[in-house]
Amino acid sequence: MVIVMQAQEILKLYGLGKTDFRGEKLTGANLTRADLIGINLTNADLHGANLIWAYLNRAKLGKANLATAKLSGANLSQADLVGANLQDADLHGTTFQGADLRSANLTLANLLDANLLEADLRNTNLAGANLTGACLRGANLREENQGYSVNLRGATLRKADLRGANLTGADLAKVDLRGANLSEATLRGADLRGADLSEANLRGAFLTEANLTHASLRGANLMNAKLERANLMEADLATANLRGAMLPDAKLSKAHLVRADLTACSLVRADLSRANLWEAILREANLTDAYLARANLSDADLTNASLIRAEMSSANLAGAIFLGTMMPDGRIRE
Amino acid sequence: MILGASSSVEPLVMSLPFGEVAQDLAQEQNLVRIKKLLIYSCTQVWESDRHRLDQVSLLNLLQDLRAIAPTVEQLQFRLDVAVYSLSKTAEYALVSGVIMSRVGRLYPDMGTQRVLASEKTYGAIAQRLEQHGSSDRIKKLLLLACQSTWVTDPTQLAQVNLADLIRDLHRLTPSLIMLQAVLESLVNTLSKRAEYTLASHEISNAFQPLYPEATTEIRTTMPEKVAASLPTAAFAETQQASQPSPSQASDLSNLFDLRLEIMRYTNPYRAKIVLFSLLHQPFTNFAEQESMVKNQTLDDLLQMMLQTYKLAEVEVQLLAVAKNLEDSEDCVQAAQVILGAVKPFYADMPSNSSAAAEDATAFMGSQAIAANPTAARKDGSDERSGRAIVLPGSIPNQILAH
Repeated sequence: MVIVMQAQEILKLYGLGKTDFRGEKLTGANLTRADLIGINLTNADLHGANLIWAYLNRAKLGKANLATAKLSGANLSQADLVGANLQDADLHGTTFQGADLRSANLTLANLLDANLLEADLRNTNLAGANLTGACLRGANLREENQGYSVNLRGATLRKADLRGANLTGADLAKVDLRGANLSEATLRGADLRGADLSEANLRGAFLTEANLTHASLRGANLMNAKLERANLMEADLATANLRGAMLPDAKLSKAHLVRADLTACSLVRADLSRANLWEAILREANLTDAYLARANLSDADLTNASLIRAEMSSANLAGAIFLGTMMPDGRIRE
Repeated sequence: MILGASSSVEPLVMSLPFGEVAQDLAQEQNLVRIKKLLIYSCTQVWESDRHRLDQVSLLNLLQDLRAIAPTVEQLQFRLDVAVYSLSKTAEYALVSGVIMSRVGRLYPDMGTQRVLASEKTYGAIAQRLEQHGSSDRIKKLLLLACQSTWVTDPTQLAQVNLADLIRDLHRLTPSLIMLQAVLESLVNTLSKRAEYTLASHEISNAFQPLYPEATTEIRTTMPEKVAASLPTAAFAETQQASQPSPSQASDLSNLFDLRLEIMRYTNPYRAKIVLFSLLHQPFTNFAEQESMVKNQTLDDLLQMMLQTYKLAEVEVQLLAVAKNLEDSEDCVQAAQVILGAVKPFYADMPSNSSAAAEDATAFMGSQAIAANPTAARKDGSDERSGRAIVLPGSIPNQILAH
């Protein structure tokens, strides 16, 4: 029962005012509900420890080993967890508000409904982690240097709240982001290939030059999103709301835009070749110089849209509505 | 099954008992949905504004409907067209069943309404299902379909009269295909989908004798027939009507701000435990109940609370539940934060009247949901958008098919 003794000893010493427990071995220790605010456990071994409901606010846990530890309901707000090992840890409903998790290893950790508000997650490894329902508002996930970005491969971010988060250049390939809140998030140059963003809220998000090839954006809200030069080849945007979105020079070849709402959207020079725009709403859309080779525009609504110099000689226009539309030759169709 | 419908139109329409039928329908639990479906069937406009729905007179709607659909077949067809074009097909199939079972008196030529089977037949089916290995799952599914309640309490389940439930569901689903659609849609909202799919197959098999072959065949072809007849313009209109307004504070699919408010001022895990205790069972055994809490997100729990309780109820009950939990001081603090955060949300909700009891479909991760018979659920607002509570992205196939 050495471990139990150690846990009790730590609590006793902490009660007497000692806070420096650097490098301590506390493997599997039971510290449930322990009040250890501000404790220094740098380099400590807490592998498999039970820290449910523990108060570890402002604790120093840099390079600590917390692999498989139970931290559900624990409070680690403003804690220093730089380079800590949290692999496979149970972080259900854990508070990491304003915590420093740079370069921490959170592979396969369960962060369901965790509070990661304003947390620093640069270069953090979250591969395969469960972040369903987690709150990441104001979190920093920005690419530190080339090749040192947050790793979210295989992670689940369903209904996660990433509003306003900085994910510039982040690797989000094939990530599950269904129903997530990414409004006003910065995703410039992010790798979102094959990501599932169905029903996600991307209102006003910055997706300039993002790679969304094969991504699913079905029913997503992309109102006023910035998608200049973004790659949306073969992306599924059926029924998505793209009102007022900026898509100049975007690659939308073979994209599925059935019944998408593209009202007042800028598609200047966009490549829409072979795109399916059946029953899409393109009212007041700007399609100047757009490339529409073999695009399906049947039953699309192009009322008051501009198609100046658009290449549409092989497009399918059956049933399309042209009312007040500026046609490629500059004439207005009544 | 519809019997003896005549195509002749000329009964003295005005002498028909519209008032009585309207009164009957007004007593129905699903009144809001009934109105929505009637309006949609008459005008092809999807009305989701609660105020306007409250204003609409059932009497006028029935008179309009009777004028548009002078025979029972036409009426059934019209309702089917409407139901199949909605995202919540299953829920509205049941609503359509309720309407069909109530409007018989407006169609005197119809003779009797749908002929239901004999008590003996229902009893035999009940016996068959009762003996099945997963009879509890079957009962849960039938209760969900007929009464929109999710019951897990074994004592309550044991007391269920299966034959009654079978008769109710038969009354509400005029065809086997409709029954299957209803069950499938409900199963899709449950967490143990595989297990409940098996249970739903068992129900469909057992119900087969209730649907004579001919009727089944006609019904099987319905979706295509319906799809072909769907006017595109009507869709454009309804789609417009269902566009989510930019600032829908009370949108249950967008609880991010509410969650943020809770996370900022209390422990998210504590908040979940308090909500779980209110909605399901008091959290008393960490080892046993921890995984149950893990099966639901804070978002699921908040949605369920907003759909189930009125503000006045939740104010009393949430605090009462919290006071009786372990670490009660922390739990009460969490409860107070939740209440503070949901108050403005409730204020934005259209109405808190229990007449809006609807949408018993938020059963994600529902392994441990105890019965909540008093559940007065909120209107799920926009049924067409495929957002919100039920099947994510459940845009009807025929809209996308071309």
